Amino acid sequence: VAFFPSTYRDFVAFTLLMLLIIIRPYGILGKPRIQKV
Amino acid sequence: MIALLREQWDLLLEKPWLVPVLLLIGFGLAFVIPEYHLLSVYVQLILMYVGINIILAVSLNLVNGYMGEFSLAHAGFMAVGAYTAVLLTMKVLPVTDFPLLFPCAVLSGGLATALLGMIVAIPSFKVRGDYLAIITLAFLMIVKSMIENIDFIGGPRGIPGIMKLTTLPWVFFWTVTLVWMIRNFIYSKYGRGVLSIREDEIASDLMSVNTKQVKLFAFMLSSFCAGIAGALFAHLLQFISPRIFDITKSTDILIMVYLGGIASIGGSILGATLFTVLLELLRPSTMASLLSWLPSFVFVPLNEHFISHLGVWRMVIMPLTLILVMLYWPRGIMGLREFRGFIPRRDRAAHHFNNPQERDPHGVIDGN
Repeated sequence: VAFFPSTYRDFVAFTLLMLLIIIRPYGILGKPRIQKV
Repeated sequence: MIALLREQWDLLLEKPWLVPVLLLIGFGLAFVIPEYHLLSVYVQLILMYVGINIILAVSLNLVNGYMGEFSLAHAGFMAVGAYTAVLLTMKVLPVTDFPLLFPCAVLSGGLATALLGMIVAIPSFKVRGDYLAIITLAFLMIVKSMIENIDFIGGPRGIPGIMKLTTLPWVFFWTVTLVWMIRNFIYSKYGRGVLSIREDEIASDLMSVNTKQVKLFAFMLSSFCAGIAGALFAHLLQFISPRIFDITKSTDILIMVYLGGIASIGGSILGATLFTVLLELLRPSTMASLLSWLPSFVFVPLNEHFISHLGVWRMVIMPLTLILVMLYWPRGIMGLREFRGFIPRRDRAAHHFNNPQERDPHGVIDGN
């Protein structure tokens, strides 16, 4: 805790959210929706 | 009556002298007023805020209006530009001895922000719409949180005692330069790409538009402008803290863009000007000084029951104005129209949105 203070909670939460949306935009359990052109 | 006004408005937009006259007025306001002290310091301050907000609105319009994405990161970009420029002017550059180093600091703020804009642009290759909005919001929160946790730049307390280096001529210079840059970008080859992404990204990709490159350039240019606006803002306010650059700031810029009209440079200029002036007019002290000429038997009860409460009501009046504009003018005041002076000669015939009949043959747009 001393090495990673709680003031970083927004930073960690939003970084994880950002990474999740970039890597798996369809969510953890969702499936990719394929759009036919 | 409204139809007549709208017709007159459309005719005014078509006047070739409109943009040169506005530029001349701006030049006069920027250089003559401070030189001869024609207006009070407070009014000069408002004019500077108008200029900074114009930069912010026009640059956000590039992403949200022309490209059809939804970015909420503008306040974060602004913060990065502001902090970079302030660190340079306070700790690195001898600005007190060489005042001409100030534009270098502002430019550096813009360039640092453009690099960050690149980071936001990369996720936009994979996601768009609501997902991109969440990513940009996350980016804003990350920037804010990082600033709050770095003690070297003041942490949550911010940086006080910044030198007041932003002046009316500098704001005018940067506003004109950046608006002109964005205008040239929009009407360039890349600008066509930006518009094609808004219409259909997959189709534009198939038509050999390098959508990734176009998105990258658009995001970088937009964030560069936001960074410069942030640098000017910091040296005008003389104090910055992470709380200034929160989601409310991004919302304010969004209101300016949607009030003026998406995909219209003129709209963003109008939106930013109207929003800033209206917000200042709704300040109790401003309203009281404006109405002080009234006889005391009118002014005293008015002040007691209405003006003194404006501080609370202005945060109701502004969103209400936005709701009314959205209901009756869904495309904003300009609604895809543009000042003739902003459209290159070769594109004027193709820009049929300035012709009301071609723009809206059935009278559906603009809530008619």
